[in-house]
Amino acid sequence: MNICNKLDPQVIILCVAICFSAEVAALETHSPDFKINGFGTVGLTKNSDKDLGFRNTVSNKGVFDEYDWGHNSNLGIQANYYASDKLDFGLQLLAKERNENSLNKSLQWAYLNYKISSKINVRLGRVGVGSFLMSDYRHVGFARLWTHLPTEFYALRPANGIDGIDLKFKNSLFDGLFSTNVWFGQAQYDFYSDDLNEVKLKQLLGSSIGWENDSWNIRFTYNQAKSQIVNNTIRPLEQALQAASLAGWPAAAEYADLTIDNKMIRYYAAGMSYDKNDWLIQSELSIVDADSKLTSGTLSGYLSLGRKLGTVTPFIVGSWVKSRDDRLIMPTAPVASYNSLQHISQYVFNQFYAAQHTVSVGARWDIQPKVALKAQWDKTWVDEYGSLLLDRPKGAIAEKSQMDIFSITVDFLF
Amino acid sequence: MACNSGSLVAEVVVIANKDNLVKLLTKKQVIDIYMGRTSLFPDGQAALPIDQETDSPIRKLFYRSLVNKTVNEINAYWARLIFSGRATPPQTIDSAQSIIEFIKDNKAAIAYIRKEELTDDVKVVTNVD
Repeated sequence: MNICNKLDPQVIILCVAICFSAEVAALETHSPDFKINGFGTVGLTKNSDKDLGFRNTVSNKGVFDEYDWGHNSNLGIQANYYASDKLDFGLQLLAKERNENSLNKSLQWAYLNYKISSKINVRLGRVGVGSFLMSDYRHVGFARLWTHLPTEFYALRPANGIDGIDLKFKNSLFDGLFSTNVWFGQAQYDFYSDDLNEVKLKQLLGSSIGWENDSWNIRFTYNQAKSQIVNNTIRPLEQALQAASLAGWPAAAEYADLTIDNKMIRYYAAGMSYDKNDWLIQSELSIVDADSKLTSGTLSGYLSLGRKLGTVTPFIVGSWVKSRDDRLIMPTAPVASYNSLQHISQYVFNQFYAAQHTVSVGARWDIQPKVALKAQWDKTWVDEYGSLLLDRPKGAIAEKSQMDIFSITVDFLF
Repeated sequence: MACNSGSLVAEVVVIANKDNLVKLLTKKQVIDIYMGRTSLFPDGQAALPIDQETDSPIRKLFYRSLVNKTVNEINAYWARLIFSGRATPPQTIDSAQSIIEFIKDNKAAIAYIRKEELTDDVKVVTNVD
């Protein structure tokens, strides 16, 4: 099974060791001070397309026209230690398929939580932050309705937490709970395309404001960060265009500043979920504002509708993403000697455009209190050149495409 | 006293330590404590909620009556909170007897049991219907 090759053996051993020691600890003392919880998913995914690979996030290689067991499978273990009423510690390890596995990448959370008062608490370390409704539990299959998160909304932002500090204030309001968070730190993730590019989000500052009761959950968030991206193609291209602008192609100057490095990116999002009388509705919208010629940011959103029928919940989801600006077009070269520079520029520009939408239908069956079985079919329409979210070994494809993705998961808690 | 002989639904009661200053909790106050929205009683004292065993019918009944959710939905709700590192679920204790013993020894504890299993060692703060 290819999943075994991809999971770091160190992580598996660590997971088994933690589970074993937890069993021993539980037998020796009935102490509530130390708790172990875990989650996992065994998932099977298949794509109908040979040229465009489906993927949950841009950090991973895609799933092409094959049965894939690794992409949507994972195993997470979390240990919490409650030192006192006010202070507790948490550690979470996540084993999943990654291009490069390491203990650092497997370490999801490692934090301390301090309750300053009954309404205010602060967490320090590697923590999950609520940038979007499902960011900080995005790997927990059991906690969501679908086999995977709507990729149009979540694929371009793989980071689920920060290394930093998160402060929360909560207070009851009407018949629910009002809460507001502020966080600061940095995050990093990989962007897999041809070679792996690492993206660092520095000086990441975010905040959320929300209200929830038994039926509703509403949240507004704002995040900003400075991007630090290592990409080997852009600098040489910028230099070539700069040189060309001084040697017979002045129009090239306008396109010579392509850098996506050290630019401020701003994320605005609104999300809601409704769970009452057997109806489940969830929706999020987001605007990303990026100060770069290559990408000005995206608009994305989704709407999910589910209906509980006993232990089975069928659902339908519509999701979309589009770059805010039209695809960048390189003007024609003034002389034939610049044709190849024009083609290369256009090739690079094409890689940064996103335009796709998906309709998903599926169902979740709760077979045991801590086990759920799901099946889902996504039909994705990709516009001309709009495949930024997908894995495209041949680069962005000009023609419009359609993909069918089938996924089945068994999600569990322990 | 009329008796509905057809009803098999046992009444669930929320119990607390006899020395706990709280006399009565509304359904909303019980919900807020059991769903992790607050860790305090209305008077500001610490609250320690106790759950019955995961697969027990009484637990299923409690959450159905309290928030109209199945055990799966409650498990998913807590999974979100636990694995995002935000909150901790109520502690689980096996039997009604052990629960009552725990309540006797812990002023902050509250729990839910069937009305038939009530003893004089604890007091009722809410009737869950």
